[in-house]
Amino acid sequence: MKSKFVSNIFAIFFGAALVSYFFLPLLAMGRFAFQVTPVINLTWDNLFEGWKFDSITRALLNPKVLETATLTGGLTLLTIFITLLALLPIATFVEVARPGWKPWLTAVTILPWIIPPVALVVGVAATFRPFAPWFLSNPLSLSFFYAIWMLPFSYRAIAGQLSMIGAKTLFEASQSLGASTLSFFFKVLLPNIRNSLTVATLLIVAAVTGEFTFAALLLKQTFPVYLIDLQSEDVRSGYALALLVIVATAVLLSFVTSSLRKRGGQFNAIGV
Amino acid sequence: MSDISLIGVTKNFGNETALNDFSLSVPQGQLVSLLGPSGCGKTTALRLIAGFLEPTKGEILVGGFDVTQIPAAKRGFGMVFQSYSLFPHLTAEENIQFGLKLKRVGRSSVVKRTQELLELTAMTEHRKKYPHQLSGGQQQRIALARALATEPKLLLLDEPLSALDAAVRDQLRTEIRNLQKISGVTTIFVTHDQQEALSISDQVAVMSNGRIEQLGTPEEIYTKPQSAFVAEFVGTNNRISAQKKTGTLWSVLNHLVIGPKAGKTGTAYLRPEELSLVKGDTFTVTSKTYQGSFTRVQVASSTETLQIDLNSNQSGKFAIGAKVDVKLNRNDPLIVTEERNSK
Repeated sequence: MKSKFVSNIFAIFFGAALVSYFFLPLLAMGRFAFQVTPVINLTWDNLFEGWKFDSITRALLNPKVLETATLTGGLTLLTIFITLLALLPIATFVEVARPGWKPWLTAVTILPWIIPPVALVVGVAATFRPFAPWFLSNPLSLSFFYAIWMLPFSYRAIAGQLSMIGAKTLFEASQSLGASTLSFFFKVLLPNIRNSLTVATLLIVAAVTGEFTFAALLLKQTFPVYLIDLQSEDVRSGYALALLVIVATAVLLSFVTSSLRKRGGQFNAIGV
Repeated sequence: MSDISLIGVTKNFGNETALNDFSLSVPQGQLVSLLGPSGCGKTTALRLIAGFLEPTKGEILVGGFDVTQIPAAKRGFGMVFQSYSLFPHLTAEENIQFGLKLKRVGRSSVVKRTQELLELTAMTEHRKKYPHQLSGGQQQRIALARALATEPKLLLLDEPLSALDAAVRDQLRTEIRNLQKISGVTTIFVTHDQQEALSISDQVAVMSNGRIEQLGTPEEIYTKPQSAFVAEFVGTNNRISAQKKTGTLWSVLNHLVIGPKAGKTGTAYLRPEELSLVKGDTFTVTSKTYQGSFTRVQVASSTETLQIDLNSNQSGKFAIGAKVDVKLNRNDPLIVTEERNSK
C-alpha cells in the first residue's frame, strides 16, 4: 500500500514537472508562432481562435533556411562518418585485443565533457590557423569538433554493447572457424552492434542539429545559428521553425527507440 | 585429424610464468583432459594450441607440422568456449554453417553437413532459433556442432560444461564423449572439475604451477596418484602418518604396507573406500552421512580424523560413539616422505 502511495505521488510530481517544463512552454511557443493575436491578448479563452500557418511556410521558403539546413545536414553526416570511422575500429581493437587499455580510453573520451567548447575552439584555432588556415575557413571543419564533442556519448554507446555481446570471445570463436579479422568485423561484429550504432548516430543527429556554441564561436552560419538570426528578423517564423525542429527531433528519437525496443534485446546497457 | 605435441612450451606474461617447459603428446583420436585448479596454466595451454597466444619458448606440432607461427584462423581447430559464444545474430543452423560458408563449401554439402550435425546433437527441431531463445545446454550443443562442422584437425574445449547446471552437465558430458568418439577427432578438454575429467577422458593431465604433475588414464590418476598434489586434488583422500620399518616396509595404522626406500616418516594417502572398520578400541565413530549406496563414516582418535566409505547396509553396525579399529584395503598406498615430495 505504502509503495503504491509513494509511486502515485511520484507520478503526479513527474506529470506536473513534464507539463510545466515541457508541454506548457511548447504550447506557448506554438501559440506565439501560429496564432495571429497580439501576445498580450492570448488567454485560455481564445486558445482555438485565429490559428494561421503562414509563419512556417514563410520560414520554409526562405532560401537561407534551406542553405543552412543543408550545411547542418552535411555536418551531421560527416560527423557520423568521422565518428564511426575513427571510433569503431579503436573501440573494437581495445575490447578484443587490449582490454587493459579500456580505463584509459574511457578517461580520454570523457575529456570533451570537462573541456568547455570555448577552450577547445580557441585551442584548435590557435594551433591550426598558422599553417592550415583553409581548415578552419571551411564550415565542414566543424564536424571534427562535433565528433570530439560527442565522444562521451558515442563511445559509451558503442563500448557498452561491445562488452555486452562479448566481442572478445566472438572474435576468438570466429577465428577458430577460419574467419579473417575483416570477415569478423563485417560478418559478426557489425550485425551485432547495429543497435548501439543506431543510438550513437541518433545522438549525433540530435546534438548536431541543435549545436550553437562551436558554430557561433567559429563564425559559421549553421542552421541553429541562423535560427537565432531569423528570430530577430522575423520573430514568428523563427519560433515556428524552432518548434518544428523540436517536434521533428522528438518524433525521430521516439520512433527509433521504439523500433529498437521492438527488435528485442537488452538496451539498458546502452542507455535507451 | 591429427596427433598433437607440445614440446618444451613456456609462456610468460611479464614476470609471471603461466606455463613452464610444458610438454604433452596426444595420440590421434584421443581425448585428453587438462585438469587443475585455476591459475595452473591449463587455459593458457589451450589458448596456445588454439593460436590465441604465442609461446615464449617451445613449439607446437600438429601431425608433425610446426604450427607455432600459424595464426589461429589458419590452424583449422574447432573450439568450444565456456560462454558458448554463438553468434547472436545468426540462427542455430546459420551458426553451424558459418565456418563452412567461409570455406566456400558447396551449397548442397553445407545443407547435408548441417543436417548431420543437427541430428547428432539432437537439435534439429531448434535449428531456426536464435541463441537467446535456446537454453545453455542447447547453446553449447550448437557450439559443439559449429566447432565440428568443418571437420577440424583438433577439437579444443575450454571448460564447456562449467556454466551449466548439474543435470545438463552430466548429460552433455556423455554426449560430448560420444560425438568425439563418432567423429574420431583428437580432443583437448580443459576443466577444473576432477569428476568431469575422470569420466570423459582417455588420459588426464593433472596440472599445477604451469607444469604437468601427472599424466595417466583416469584409473591411474585416481588409484595411483604420484604426488601429494594429485592425491589431494583428485577425489577425497585421508592423510595418515606413516613410519618406516625396514627397507620398503612402512607401518600405517599398525598395518604393514609397501612404500619408498628413502625416508623415516611420511604421510600415507588412502581414499575413504580403501579403508574399512572392525570393532576395536583405537577410534571412535563421530559422525555418519548417508549418501545412498554408501555411507561416509567419520572416525577420530586422539591424533587422527578419518573419512571411511562403507556400504550402506554395513554401516548400521557402527553407531555413533562406537569404538572401532581401521583396516587398510590396500598395501601400496602413496606415501610421501617428509624429506622428499615423491614416492
